[in-house]
Amino acid sequence: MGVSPSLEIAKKALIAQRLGLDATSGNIANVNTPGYSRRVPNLTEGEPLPSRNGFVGNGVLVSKLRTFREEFFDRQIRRSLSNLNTLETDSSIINRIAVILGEPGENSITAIVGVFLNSFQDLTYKPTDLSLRQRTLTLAQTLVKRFKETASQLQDTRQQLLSDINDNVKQANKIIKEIAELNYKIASATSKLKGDNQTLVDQRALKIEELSKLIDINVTQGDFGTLNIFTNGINLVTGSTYNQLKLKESIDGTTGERTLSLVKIDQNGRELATVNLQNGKLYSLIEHFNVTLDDKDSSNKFSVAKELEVFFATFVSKVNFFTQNGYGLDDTGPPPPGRSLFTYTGTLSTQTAEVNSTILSDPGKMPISGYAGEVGDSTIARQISELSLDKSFLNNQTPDEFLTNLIGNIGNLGNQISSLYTISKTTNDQLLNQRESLIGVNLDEEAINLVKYQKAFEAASRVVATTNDILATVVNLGR
Amino acid sequence: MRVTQFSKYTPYLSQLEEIQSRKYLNELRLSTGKNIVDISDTPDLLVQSKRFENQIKLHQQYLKNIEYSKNFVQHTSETIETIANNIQKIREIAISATQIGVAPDVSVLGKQIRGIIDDIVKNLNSDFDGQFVFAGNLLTPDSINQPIGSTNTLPFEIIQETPTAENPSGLKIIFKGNTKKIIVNLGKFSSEAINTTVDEMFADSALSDLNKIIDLYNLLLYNKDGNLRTETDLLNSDDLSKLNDYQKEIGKIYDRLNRANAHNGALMDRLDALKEQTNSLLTSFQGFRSQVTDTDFAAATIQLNKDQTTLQFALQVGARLTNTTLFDFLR
Repeated sequence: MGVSPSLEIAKKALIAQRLGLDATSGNIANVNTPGYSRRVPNLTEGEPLPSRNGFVGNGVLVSKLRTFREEFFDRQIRRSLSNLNTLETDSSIINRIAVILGEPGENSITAIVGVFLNSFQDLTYKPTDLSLRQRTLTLAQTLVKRFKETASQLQDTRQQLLSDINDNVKQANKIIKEIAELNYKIASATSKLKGDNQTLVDQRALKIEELSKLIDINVTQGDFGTLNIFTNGINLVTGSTYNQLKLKESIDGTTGERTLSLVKIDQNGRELATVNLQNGKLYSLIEHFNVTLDDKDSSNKFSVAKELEVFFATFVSKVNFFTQNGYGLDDTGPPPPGRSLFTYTGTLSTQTAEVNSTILSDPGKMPISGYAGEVGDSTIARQISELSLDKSFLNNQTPDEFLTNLIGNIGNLGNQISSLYTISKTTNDQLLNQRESLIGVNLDEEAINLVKYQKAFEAASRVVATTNDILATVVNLGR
Repeated sequence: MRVTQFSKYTPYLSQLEEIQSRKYLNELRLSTGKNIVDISDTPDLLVQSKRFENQIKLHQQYLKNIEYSKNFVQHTSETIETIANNIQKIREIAISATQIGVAPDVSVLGKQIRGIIDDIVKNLNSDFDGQFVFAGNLLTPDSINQPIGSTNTLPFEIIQETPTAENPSGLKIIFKGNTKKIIVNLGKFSSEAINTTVDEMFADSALSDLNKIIDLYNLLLYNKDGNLRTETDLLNSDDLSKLNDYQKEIGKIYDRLNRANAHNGALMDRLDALKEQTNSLLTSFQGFRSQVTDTDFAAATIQLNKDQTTLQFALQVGARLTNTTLFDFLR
């Protein structure tokens, strides 16, 4: 056996330790890079060479750069992220609704309805007092204005959601395209280099996680290291091919209810399938657009906008029913003039209702007496004020109970979301922690690796120098 | 467990955020004095507080109604008392007229009665807070219909009719209101009529008994021929008999007015009791609401101190997180 194998072994060692140093440097450089998975060179002993004295070692080889990513954690984290983003979006929307309703606060809708109904009690004993009549009319205007504002703010929020949904669909499509492109690059690298390009794999994992925040996805393994992405059985990415998502809006011809859905389209924009989301930010946004904030919702789920509209329409109808049977200060009859306190054009809603302008211009015309010419009679005022105790007002509840329960339901929803969010966040943090303990970078560890590879590199260099000396001695033997 | 850079910082940041948010919540509770600062905090307490709040507002309104009703009934009672005193005065005059020594001044007594009748009608037209007290539910002048001979839109009026043998003065007290009740809500599903109607004070709304005073006035002022009495026009036995009957009738009006006032007295007692009861309910509701919505300052302060200490230590730990790695020792 000659001297040159030692040089070969030293060369291999230099290359291996240098790779170790590179991997360590890469790990240190990416210590804070999201989605980065640490790399460690997999060192194996070279196949021994036969000699007269038996087999002699053939140095060190780097079989591959090892990473620690585990599909189990990736899958769990994707699921958890989907859930977490659903809850985060839910929470943000519920908080916005609470602010719009002025809850908890003293000028909430509940308080305004209560004050309005109580004002009729003042009129029961002073029905002819024009200033009290004027006060009740002012409160009626405040009530209408407050419901209008609330409904309009809820609709503004809904419009804002539509814009958010469009942005998020664009974002999802961008990510889907990027994943397909990364699949292509990974497949190319795998087939050419016979190994994974870990950087691309990490980038793709990060993109998949970003996508799972928006929609709930399933990931399956494809050929040449590619991954296929599905959402509720519908494939979005297959290898390097992909389909885009499109927001579809349908309007019910009868009720005018606007409903959004997500569809898969082909490259020509043709609709291929409807995507039924179950989780993710987009799911939450679409659900709140279609249900919570839709005043024409027909799903029978909890819709704040619809509940408010139903309350308002019932309230106005009931008050009008009473006033239509009443008489103002100067009215003769019977029959009563049939004057409504609230008027509207078309369909009764928060947006169409107003306080009757005839009554507004002459408070004496407010029909609170049950009998013509009996100005001191306050039968109608009493009936209206007693609405506050009417258990049959709406869904076997009084107006106050209905509104309080509405607020309670929103609060309970918020509370439930908050609890689930806390649990989900804890689970997500634990999963991230566990995954990080595998794939994350520990600087102390890297410092040791750095020293380890540096020393090994130095030692290998010394082998080269020593072998060089030996060779020089051998070469000089003949002189 | 292998500890990475991420495992050090991310959970720390998450915990720090939680401590800060807890501390902020307690600061908010202390600064606003409100226990419920977010709709999702404690929805059950929020619903409870809303129910108490509504009960408080409702009962405040009932208290207002009771207070108004009490004042109205008190005013009514005082007016009826004044009217009853005037009726009593007329009765005393009627009795005086029967006495022999006073007999020559009967026409003067008649003129006195006329003045008192004016006072009675004035009292009957009395208003409380701009609304007629005894006109049933016709509370304003605009709502009073004027029959023939009426010259004003007040509920009670002495009108001048054509003199007749029965009514030589032609005077008549008429009522233009009605006998409807003014009903006020005084509690949940509880309402009360607060006005005294004319048929509760007098025999009927045609005021047949009150007009006996006019008959008395006629008797004292006019002789049997329908002429004004002279000083020598003395009351004869027929007149004295009539006088006696009128006096008895007037006595009945007085009794009826007192009965009406007794009813008002009982109503005021009821209103007082109701006011006390409503006040007590209101205080309870306010107490319950306070328990639910107001900050427990002691607990919130202690909690805030705990959070501040925790935050301080958490920040110190955070400062140490960045302190050392092996790189610091490798020279």
